[in-house]
Parts: sequence; structure tokens; C-alpha cells
Amino acid sequence: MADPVVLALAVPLCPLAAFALTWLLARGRPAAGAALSLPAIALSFVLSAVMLWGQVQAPGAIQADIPWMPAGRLSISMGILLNPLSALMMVIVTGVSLLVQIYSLGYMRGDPGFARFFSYLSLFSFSMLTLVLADNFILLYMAWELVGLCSYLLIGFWYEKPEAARAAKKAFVVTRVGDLGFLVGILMLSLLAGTFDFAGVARFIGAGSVPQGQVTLVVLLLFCGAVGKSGQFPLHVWLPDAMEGPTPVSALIHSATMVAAGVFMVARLYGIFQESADALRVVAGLGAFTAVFAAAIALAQDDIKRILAYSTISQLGYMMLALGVGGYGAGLFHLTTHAAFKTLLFLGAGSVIHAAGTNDIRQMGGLARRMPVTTVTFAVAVLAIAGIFPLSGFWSKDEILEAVRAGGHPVLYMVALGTVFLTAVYMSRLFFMAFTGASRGEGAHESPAIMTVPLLILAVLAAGLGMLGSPWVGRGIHGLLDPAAPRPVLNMGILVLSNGLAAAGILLALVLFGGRAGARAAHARKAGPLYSLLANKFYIDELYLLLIRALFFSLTTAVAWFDRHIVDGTVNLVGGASKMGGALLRRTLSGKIQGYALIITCGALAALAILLAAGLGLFGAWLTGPGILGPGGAGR
Amino acid sequence: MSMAPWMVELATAALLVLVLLADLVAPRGKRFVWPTFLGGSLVILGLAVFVRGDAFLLGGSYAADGISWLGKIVIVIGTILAGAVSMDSLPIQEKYHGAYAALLLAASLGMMVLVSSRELVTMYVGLETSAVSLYGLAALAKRDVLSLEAGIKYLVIGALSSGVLLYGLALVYAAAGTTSLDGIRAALGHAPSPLSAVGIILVLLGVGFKITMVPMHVWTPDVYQGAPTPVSAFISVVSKSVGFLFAIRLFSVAFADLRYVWEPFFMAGAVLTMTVGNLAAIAQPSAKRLLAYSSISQAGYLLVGFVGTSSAGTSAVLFYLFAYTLANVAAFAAVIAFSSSTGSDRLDDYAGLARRSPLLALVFTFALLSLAGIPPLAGFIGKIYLFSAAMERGYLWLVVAAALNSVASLYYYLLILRRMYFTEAPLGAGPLRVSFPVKAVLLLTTVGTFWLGILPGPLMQVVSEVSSRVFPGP
Amino acid sequence: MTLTLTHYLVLAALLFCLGVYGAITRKNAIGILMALELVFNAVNLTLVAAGRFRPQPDAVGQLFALFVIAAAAAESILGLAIILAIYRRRVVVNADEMDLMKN
Repeated sequence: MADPVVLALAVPLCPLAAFALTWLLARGRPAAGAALSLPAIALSFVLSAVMLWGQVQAPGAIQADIPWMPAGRLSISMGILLNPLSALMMVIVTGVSLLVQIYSLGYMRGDPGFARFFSYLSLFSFSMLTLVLADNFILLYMAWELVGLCSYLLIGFWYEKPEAARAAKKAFVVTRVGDLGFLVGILMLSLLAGTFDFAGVARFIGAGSVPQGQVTLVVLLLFCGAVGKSGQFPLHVWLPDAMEGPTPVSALIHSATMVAAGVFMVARLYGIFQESADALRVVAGLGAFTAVFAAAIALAQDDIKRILAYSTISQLGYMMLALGVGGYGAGLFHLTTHAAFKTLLFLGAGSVIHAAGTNDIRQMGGLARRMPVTTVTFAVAVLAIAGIFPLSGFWSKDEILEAVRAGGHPVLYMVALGTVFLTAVYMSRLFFMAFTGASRGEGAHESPAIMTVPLLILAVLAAGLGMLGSPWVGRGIHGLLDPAAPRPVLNMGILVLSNGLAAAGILLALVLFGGRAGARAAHARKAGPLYSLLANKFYIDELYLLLIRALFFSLTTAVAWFDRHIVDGTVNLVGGASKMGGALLRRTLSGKIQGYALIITCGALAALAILLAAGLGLFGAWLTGPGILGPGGAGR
Repeated sequence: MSMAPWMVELATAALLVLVLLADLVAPRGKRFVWPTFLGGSLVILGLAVFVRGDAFLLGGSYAADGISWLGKIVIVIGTILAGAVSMDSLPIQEKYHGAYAALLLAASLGMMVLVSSRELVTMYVGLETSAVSLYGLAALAKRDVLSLEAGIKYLVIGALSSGVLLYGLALVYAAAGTTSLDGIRAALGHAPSPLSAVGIILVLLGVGFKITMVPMHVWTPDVYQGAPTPVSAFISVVSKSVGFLFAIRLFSVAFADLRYVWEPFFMAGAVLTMTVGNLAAIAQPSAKRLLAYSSISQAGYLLVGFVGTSSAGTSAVLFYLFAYTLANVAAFAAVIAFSSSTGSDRLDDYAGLARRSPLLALVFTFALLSLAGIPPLAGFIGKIYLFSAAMERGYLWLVVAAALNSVASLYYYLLILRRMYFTEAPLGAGPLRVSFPVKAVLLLTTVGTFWLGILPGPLMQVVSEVSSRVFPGP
Repeated sequence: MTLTLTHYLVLAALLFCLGVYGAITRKNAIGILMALELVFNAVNLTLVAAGRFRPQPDAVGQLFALFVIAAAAAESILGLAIILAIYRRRVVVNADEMDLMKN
């Protein structure tokens, strides 16, 4: 058996090679682009599966690195850390990538950017795989950023559409805000610990020499990155807009892999997170809130992809909740099952959009008759996400519920249960409005095999993956990830509760939205203000815009005052309306030499004034310590 | 007395004379001048890299240590790159090319003296030599009123700043009684007197002019915009690097024991500089002006590293100067390529560049991304290094401000990228013709940027070794 | 009364401020250059005085001042040349009117 390190390295490098080759050679040639990309990802998948199998047989961490940047105390090396967690993630990433790429062969056919699309997908796979294999913060962060860049490229793929370009920019900027906290956290942590690699940092924190408050701060900063990437409140705003990208992109990136990076990161660094109970509480609380918040919004959306986007946000909240209450295995198990059924949902939605020619579920209907395969697979996914026994979603969701309940968090438990109900409602609503009832569109037809086969594969996974976490399969997936975890048991109480809520939700949706078109339209008008609050996503985007405008406005008003009274004093300038910060600063440089000289002089005077004030003791002991009128030169 | 430590300076002076001769000899100066210049400069580069000493000469007033070694390398690299892109793209009559090349060399010679001095008078001489040469270079495109205006603005503001700096140095001399850096350190002790405190602050402001720190940055946009673009590239890279080395020598040697006096001012300067540079860059319609403000903000990041510990901060600054030199020269070279071919400096005209000249757009992209600090480019590594140095002294808030500014700067860099890639080119616009020297410069700097970004190890080792030799201890 | 270092330093400071004031307020560009000369002379005065009033007077202050004089002269010459070139092209000599580049 070959060296695991080499095999592990091959996994991200194959798609990288595919990307490079496609970019260099096959830019305009669709067939070549796909021909390079698909075998590469398939190979990676096979290798990942091999690695996972190896981990199942002999779980343990394999680490290898090479020195890269000797920076004195903070030497950085580049390396990989292969353990059950990363092996599992590799399989998920490559598996979903493979299925999405196969699907895209059909979905993107005829698109002028076909080869470019596949090259971006390969680049993304490379970045994501590097992210899950990284053994130190720097490599993790670099891969993290690269993943963000790829998502920018892919969301904005159809860049002629202004909404797409805007969405890409929004995604990049919002996640960068989260990345900011992440970076600061990384720097603080690494400087405290004297090293960048995970093992060393974990050891250091575990030694307990750092005050608790600082540990909590650092952990929360790290969590910022996860909040951004995994679309937790309040940095969730980019995810729904990101639906402007092609649907396979949404399936790959925004349901199964990239957004899971945040969850993965928390899991990867779990040892560190566990050192701060307060931080974990924040993680759990935020996760629960996000879950119910997004589920509520999803209820009032009419764009099929947006419903799924909010659903993703909500499910990610679930995963964070799990991790926050100590359910490490549960959270990751849900990540796995979610990857299966969410991808299925998105790909199915892609087929539906293709067939119906619209994203709006109010304009769909009756697709069940025309697209049987898609309907059935979609139904399986809906049942899975609702958590109906014995599909995969049930097992993972109930585990989370159990973890929350056993951890003694009554409020969170209630919230989680409420979300179960809401999830069932909005997903069923989607299903009924799109697939049942009178058919409103024409020309809908089943997708070609190349698109339905991945759907079928995913449906099988969505149905059966749960078995891996059931009591009937050895130690299950949890045993793999967390050897100390107890064997999963089937908690009948929770089973009844969750399935009951889910069934109730489905029934409610059936009553409200199934069947007749008239009833559907009518119900949409009711519910009034609550409905519009949800439909407008609680007006959060508008709030952000308002905040940013207010911030800039106050900043520019201050600069304008300075500008008018001090700099332009002699020149009698008409202080007019000011726009954003940049426009105002431009006016301070009027082009006149003496204006510049004046600025310099004022700066110098300000500096000297500060010095004088310090000497007189106005800044405390800053410059009065040894005595500013002390020895050394002729005093004045 | 061994001549070895002086080889680089002597060679530069000799080349200066040669270039002037070549200019006299040939009626159409260009044909002889540029080959001479380039050939000679490459020889000088070789000398600069291999002649390395570790001694103080002339009674301790001239240094041949690690800082002067690295400083000379940056200077010569900058000179070569600036010269290379000037060859075919200079908006100056050919008969003045000899004068241009001579001025470049004079400026670099002055800067070499500046980074090697350990004594105030020598420093001043080097500083003024280079400064006056630069004023001349900025104004050299006599036919262009903007160039002349840039020259006079540079000169007046420069002279004023120089006066401020000088006055500060004079006060320091009055307080310390000596002009040697070590002597000043010993004499000033650990407590500032009114004389030395005011002197230090004035020196800080004067140095701020060279490194484009707020509020001494005001000349930068106009000068970068009006001067011939290769000159702007030269100033933005070499003058700033030398300014920082100058600052390192002064503040980490002469004023080292009075850190608590000047450090807060530099920290404030760092924040203001980053912010002003980034905010003002946002709405700029002119490419050269945008790059000017971008360079201003880069000085802010450098200052963040500068206030770190002496040895970590110095090595971070040194590393970033290399990364910044490569990226900024690349950016300016791309602008040169664009404006030589289209005659325009307006960013709007860059629309659709990715389709017209994909390689040019790509190289420009990498340069901008490196400046923004995106991995795996050199700028990313450099920024991490700078931020770590500041963190080591516990200046968390400063690093946060710098990280915020980095994110904000993405906005205007991405705007350019978006215009190049996602906007339609004007009808009938074809690919751009880029001259060979400019292409070579673009290629070399891009390769360098990637290399430093992916394999920063060797350079990092060199700079940390240099700075720990010069500043032993934390 | 005996003149101490302080007297010279104060005078130099006054000259410095006068020079800066002049640089900011004079309309004529050549006038600005003249004001800057005043600044440099203030510096020279400080240098020479500081050197003179040391416990062991040496020539360093004067040396420094000599270099400053030379450098200031070079700057002035160049400044005048540029102003002349501007005048030839645009017939302006007031600093206010040299504002073709601005934000």
C-alpha cells in the first residue's frame, strides 16, 4: 500500500493540475475542459475513499510537513494533517464535486464559458481540499481565502448579468469581514503560542497558561471566520444573493462544501474551542438563532433557490448548535447527510428551473407528471431534510436534538424543535407548489440522463447514509470521528417528537399549498405584516445599507468641518454637499501649492502641540516621567 | 585603505560619468545612452549583491553593514527597472535622454549614501543629492505643463519638508552636541529635553515626507500624476524604500532610547496614512493618481511593521519593501504599457482590457492583488510579517486597523479588475502593443511576486539575519 | 549682556516661523523660494550657534551649515529654472495659478 502522505497530497493536486492545464490549453474548447476536469476529480474521489477506508481500519493522525518560512520564533511549515475528520471531508468534497461536474455536463451544455466553468470548479476543489488537509493556520487561511476567491469567480460566472456581479462582490466583501476577525484571532493565537500549527497551539492552550478571558476572545475571533463563511447571522446576507450563480455552483459551494468550511474549521480546532465554555455557548446560541431565523424567512420566499439558500443557512445553524453543545460527532454527521440531500435539492432545483423556465414557485406546478425521476428524488430529499425516519436526515437531526437535550439546554431545545417544524413546512410548501397541482408552465420535460443519474445516486445516499449513524452499524460514524463518544442509541422519545412535528409540518403545507392553485394565491395575501417581514428577510440588508451610509456620513461630516474651518479658512470655499469619504478627502488637496504647505504646517503644529501638552502633563506620565526639563541640552 | 566597501558607490559614480560622456558623444543620445546605462547598472547590481561587508568606515560615520547592503540592492533594482521601462516610453525629447539617465544615477548615488550614513551631515548630503535629482526628473518632460507643475510642487513641498527635517536635525545636534548616530544616542539619554523632543518630532515629520506619511503626503498625488510615469514608478518605490531605511537608521539607532516619545506619533501616522490613502483612492478617475494613493496607503502598512520590535519590525519592513517594489513597479509598468499605447491615463479607458490584451491585464491583476495582500502573492506574506511584528509589541488595535484597511483597499483594486474583466471594451479597440523592455519588466516582477509569495523562506532568512545583526536583542 | 545659546536659538526659531509663514502666504512663486531660503538660514544659525556654544567648540556645526548652504543653493537654482519654464509655457508666476492637477 502506497505511502498515505503521497496519496493524500495527490488528492488536491489532481484538480489543481486540471485547472492549470485547462487554463493553459483548453480555454475555448468545451470538450477538452471537461475531459481534463472530470477524470481528475474522479481520481481524487477514489483516492479519498481509499484514505477514508484506511482511517476506518486504523484511525489515527498522520502528519507531514516541510519547513517553508523561517521567521525566527514563528517559523511556518507547510504540511498536511490526515485524520478521520479530514478523510471524511475529502470524501464529501470530492464526491459532491464529482456528481456536480457530471450534472454540469448536461446543465451547462452550450454555455460559451463551458471550459472556463470546469476550470473554476477544479480550482475550487483544489482550494477546498487544501483547506481540509492543512495542518497549520497559515495554510488554512490561505486556502480559506482562495476558496473565497473561487466562490467570487463562480457566483459572478455570468458576469454580464449585473445582479451576478453584484452578488459576487457582496459575497466576497461580507466573508472578508468575517475573515478579518479570523485573521486577527489567528495572529493573536499564534503569537501567544509561538507557533502556527494546530497541534502546537492546542497543546499550548491546553497547558492553561493563558487567562480565560483571552482564550475566549481568541476563540470568538476565530469563530468570526466561520460566521462569515458559513453564513451565520449576521453575516448571512451574502448567501441568498449568491444564488445568482449557476445552479451547479450553488449545489457544490453553497450547500455542501464551502459553507461547510466554517463548520469544519470549528471541528478541526475543537480542542481549542473546548477551552472556552463561554465561546461554545455563543456558538450554540448563535447557531440556534440562525437556524430558526433562516427557517422563518424561508417560509415566505418564492424563489426556489432562495428557499434552498435560507434552508442551508438554517441547517448550518443546526450544525453550529451541535458543535456548541458538545455534540461533535452529531454536528459532523449532519454535515455529511446535509451534503447529500442539499446537493440533491439544488441539482433537482436546477432541473426544475430548466424545465419550467422560471425560479418562481408560484409559476410552477404539476411537474410531477412530466418529470417523474426528478420528483421522486426531490421528494426523498424533502423527507430527509424534514427528518423523517428512516432517512439520513432523521438520524443526524435527532442526534443533534439528543445532544442539546442531554446537555441541559431547554431553551435551545425548544428552538431546535421549532425549527424542525418550520423546516418541514417550508420544504413541503416548496415541493407541493412546484410539483403538485395544476400545471402552469408548458414545455416541461424530464432532464437528460446525465442530469438524472447524479440525482438518483444522491437520493440513495440521502436515504441510506443515515444508517452509518444508526445503532445497527458498529460504532458508526461517530466512533470514527470521536473515539470517546458513546454508542449511538435510538431515543424513542425524540424520534416520536421530531417525526411528529415534521409530519405535522408536512400536513400543514399540504393543506395550505397542495393541490388547487386558487387556495395558494389566496393564502399568500393573508398573514399581512408578518408575512412581509419574513418575505423581506427582516429587512436586514436594508438595515446594513443604512448603517454603512450613516457611518460614512458622520465620518465625512467631521472631515468636512475640518476642511472648511481650518484648511480652507483663507480661501472662502463654498462647503457644499458631501458624498462618501473619498469625495471629501479629495477636496483637501485643492491643487494649490500653498494649500499643501498649509496642511503640512498644521500637521507640524498639531504634533508640536501634542508634545507640549504631554510635557505639561496633560497625557499623564507619558513625557513627564524623568522630567522633560531634565538634563541634556540647553533648556528653553 | 581597501576600496572594496566603496565599489558600488564608485561604480555608480563612474557610470554617471560614462552616461554623460555617451550623451556628449552621440548626437542622438538615445542609442548610446541606454545600453550604457543598462549594461553598467547590471554590473552595479552584481557588485551590490556580492560586495558585502560588515564594518563601519570613516570613523563610524559610514556603514557597510546589512542595511546598507540590502538598501543598495533595492536601489539598484529600482533604478534598473525604472530605466528599463523608460527606454521606449519616455515622453521626453531624445536629446534629453542622457540627462535623464544621468539624473537617475545621481539620485541612486545620493540614496546609496543616505542608507549607508551613520552621521547627520553625510545623511543630509545624500538626501539632498537624491532629492534635487528627483525634482529635476519630475520636471524633465518640459513640453508637458503637468510635468513642470509636478516638478515645482515637488520642489517647494520637498524644500519645505527638508527645511523642517533640517531644523529638527539642528535641534538634535544642539541637544546632543554631536552628529554621529551613536553619539546622539548616548548623549540624549533616556529622557527628552524640550530641545531634543521638538527636534525629534520635526525630524519625524521630515522623514514622513519621504515615506509619504500623513500629513506629509500631500505632494504625492500631483507629483505621481504629472511626472513622467517611469519617474513616478521610481519615486514610489526607491524613494519610499530609502525613506524607510533612513527612518530605521535614525529612529532605531540614534533615537532608540527615546522610543516612547516618537512611537505614538508613528502609530498615529500609520493609521491616518492607511486610511487617507485608501479612502482617497476610491473615487480616482486617473490611474496614476490612484496608484499614488495606493502607495500612500502602503506606507501606512509599512509603518505598522515599523513600530514593531527593532529586529522583528526591521526585518518585516525590509521584506515588505522587496514585495512592494516588485508589485508597485509591475503596476506602474502596466500603466506605462497602457498609456504608451493608448495615450490615456483614465481608468475608464481600461474597460475590457482583459479581452484586448489578456496577458497585460493578468499581470496588472497580480500586481494589484499583491498590493491588496491576497495569497499566494508576496504582498500577503509581507503583510502577515508586518502585522506579526506589531503584534509582538502588543499593538492589537493597530493590526485590526491595518487589517480593516486591507479589506477596504480591496474595493478600489477590485473596481479596476472588474473594469478590465467584466466590462465591454470600446468598439474597435484592439490589442495593445507593448515594447520589449516593458514586457521584460512585467514578466520579471510578476515572477518575483509569485516567487516571494510561495517561497519567502530564503529572503526572510536574509532579512532577519541582517536585522538581528544590526539590532541584537528583541 | 552676554548672548547665550538660548538667544540664538530663539532668533533662529523666529526666522524659521517667518520663513514658513512666507512660504504659505506669498503669491509669487519666486517669493516662496525666497521664504524657503529664510528657513534654511534659520537652520544654519541654529547649527552654527550650537557648534559654537559647546563645551569644546569644534567646526562640525559650521561644516553642516556649509553643506546646507550648498544644497539650498542647488534647490533654488532648480526651482528658478522650473518656474521659468512654467512661465514660458503658461505665463503664470503666481503659485495659486499652478493648480492644473487637483482632486
